[in-house]
Amino acid sequence: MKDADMGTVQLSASQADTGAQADTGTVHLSASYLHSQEMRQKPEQKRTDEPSPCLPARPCLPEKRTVEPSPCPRGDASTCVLRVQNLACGYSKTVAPILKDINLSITCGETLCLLGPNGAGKTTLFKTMLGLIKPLAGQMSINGEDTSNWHRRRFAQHIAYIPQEHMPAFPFTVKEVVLQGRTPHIGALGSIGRTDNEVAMAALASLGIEHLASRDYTMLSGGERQMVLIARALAQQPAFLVMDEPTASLDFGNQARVLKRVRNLADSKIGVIMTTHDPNQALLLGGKVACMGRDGSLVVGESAATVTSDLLNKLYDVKVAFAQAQTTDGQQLQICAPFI
Amino acid sequence: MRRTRSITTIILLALLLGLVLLASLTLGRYAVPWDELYGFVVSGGAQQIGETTGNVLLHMRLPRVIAAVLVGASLAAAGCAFQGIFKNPMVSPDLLGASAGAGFGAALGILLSLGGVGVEICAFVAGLVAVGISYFLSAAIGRSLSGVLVLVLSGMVIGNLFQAFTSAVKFVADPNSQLPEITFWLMGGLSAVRESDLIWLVLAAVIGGAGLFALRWKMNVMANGDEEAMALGIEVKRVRLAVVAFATLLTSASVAVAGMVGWVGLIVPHLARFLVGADQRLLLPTSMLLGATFLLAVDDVCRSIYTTEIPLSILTSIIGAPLFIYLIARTRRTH
Repeated sequence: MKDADMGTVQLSASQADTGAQADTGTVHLSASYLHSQEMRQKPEQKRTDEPSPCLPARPCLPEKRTVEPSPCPRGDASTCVLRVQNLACGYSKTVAPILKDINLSITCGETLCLLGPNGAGKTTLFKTMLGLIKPLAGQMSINGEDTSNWHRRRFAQHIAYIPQEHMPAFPFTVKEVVLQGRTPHIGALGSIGRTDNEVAMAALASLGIEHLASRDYTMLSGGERQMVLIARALAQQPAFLVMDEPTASLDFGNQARVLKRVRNLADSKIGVIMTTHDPNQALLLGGKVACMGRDGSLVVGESAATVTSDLLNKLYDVKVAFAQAQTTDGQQLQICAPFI
Repeated sequence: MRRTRSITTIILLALLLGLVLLASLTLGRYAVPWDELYGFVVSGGAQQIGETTGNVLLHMRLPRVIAAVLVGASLAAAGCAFQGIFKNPMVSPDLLGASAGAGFGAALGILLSLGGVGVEICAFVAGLVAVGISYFLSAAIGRSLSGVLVLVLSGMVIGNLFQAFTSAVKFVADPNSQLPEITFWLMGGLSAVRESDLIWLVLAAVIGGAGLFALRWKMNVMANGDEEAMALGIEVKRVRLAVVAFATLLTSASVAVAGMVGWVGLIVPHLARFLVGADQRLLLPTSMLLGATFLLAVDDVCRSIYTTEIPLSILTSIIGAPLFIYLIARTRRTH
């Protein structure tokens, strides 16, 4: 019931683009993200009174409230690039790294699916990209700036994390959960302010779930919780987003709806990195894939050209068949399935 | 909407605390009638009432009432903070050994006949030392393991160790004078509170309370677990150390003045969460008000229902245990 509602409010790529091309300095709320009419009516006043919230549509705007300026150039989100070079990751310097010589890049507005069998190091890789683990060698940069000396808050202003479905120990309301996304934007001893509330509500509205705001997060269904976590990441206003198996433990319909969200996020100029166990999702999303083998091999490329039966056979050690399908609106779909 | 309701709840709780506070001043072996108290408060001095009444109010009852308020608020705030950062509603402020350490310090102080202030200082310092050992032990052994788990385990170990030390002190203590004193001290009570203790208690409560209040939002985010909190921009280790330090300051100071008072730090945050939800911005002040009111009321009962005083922890347990069961049952039903 609630899940069905989520599918109804869509944001289109064209709307997001209008937002991105708009005048730079003001709090311009593109229709795709922030529905708050009140805020749109008086952008000039906002500009003088309050720090301009960094919008998801143009995630790299500097904020008055942040300690240092954002490294990405003003209003040019499309060139914001996350790049890892010769990266080696692992949990300990004394044992051999789990991954080495990783070279990847992702631009705002792209999707990158991490494919690979269990134990290939997908989690290790994205934790390193989130800055949760220090790289053992090599470097990572966001828009050309080396991130090795970034503190936690700076990371969180640029790259958000959506964990697999989680259950907090305490009955927070949905709004309280979404407000947590504002954490990297508030001062060291500060608390949530009015702008933060507005951004959180706008993030909920952009996903069409503002009616959940005062509900108990722990009482929601799995699909609803996943949507709330996406809203929290939007409230964080990042340039990049890491999703850890966003469709795990969701039913068939909710999986498709979450994937649609992922594509919408990319359309609104966020770079989305997601891990998945289903190669079909990489094919469906398009964009880039990074296929990680258990032997440490890494193949990166466009999904349609990269995800082949040979590659899947090598990655997962199963035989795979491919098929073409046509959707009702005439789209061609590539579908793969293992056979036994 | 919910926020407005919660703020109303907080205001009502503050009024309730004021009411219980005034009532507490009238209660006791030497009863002070309401009209005399009213006259005293309005005139702001001891002139309108008898010298004895004035003495009882100012130098005996008021310090004790203030101590009850501060100890109750401190323990509740520490419990609230610990439950938040350890992501576990079953945690109480003595998780890392603060109470066990303070109990040992007090027992040692009594064994060495250090006198009232000496015992308090011993208890306070030993409480801080016990938590310090737990913290640095976990930091030394748990580099790659989950920080919270190792910290809780070292807290359990250190707490048990200090309890064993306390038993050892009891074993060698003089069974005629020192042993009963240690036993009574460990049961908790506010009868020995002096005016001179208050300044330290106030200082600890203000520093600890303000520290935790400043970290209220970060504690909310910490409830998601370390990795998510880090991804949301929190320096997890630093915040956890700060919360542990402030909460331990509150707990150790409370135990040093009032002895072991169980249950307050465990059930009051539950009760508060039940009223205003899990958000520490509201939960922390609500817990402090509730904790203060609860301990004040319990202390009133302790000193007025029987000719001799009942130790605090007996009553907090007798009230706390069924209340806790009730709260758990209610949470289960709503989930």
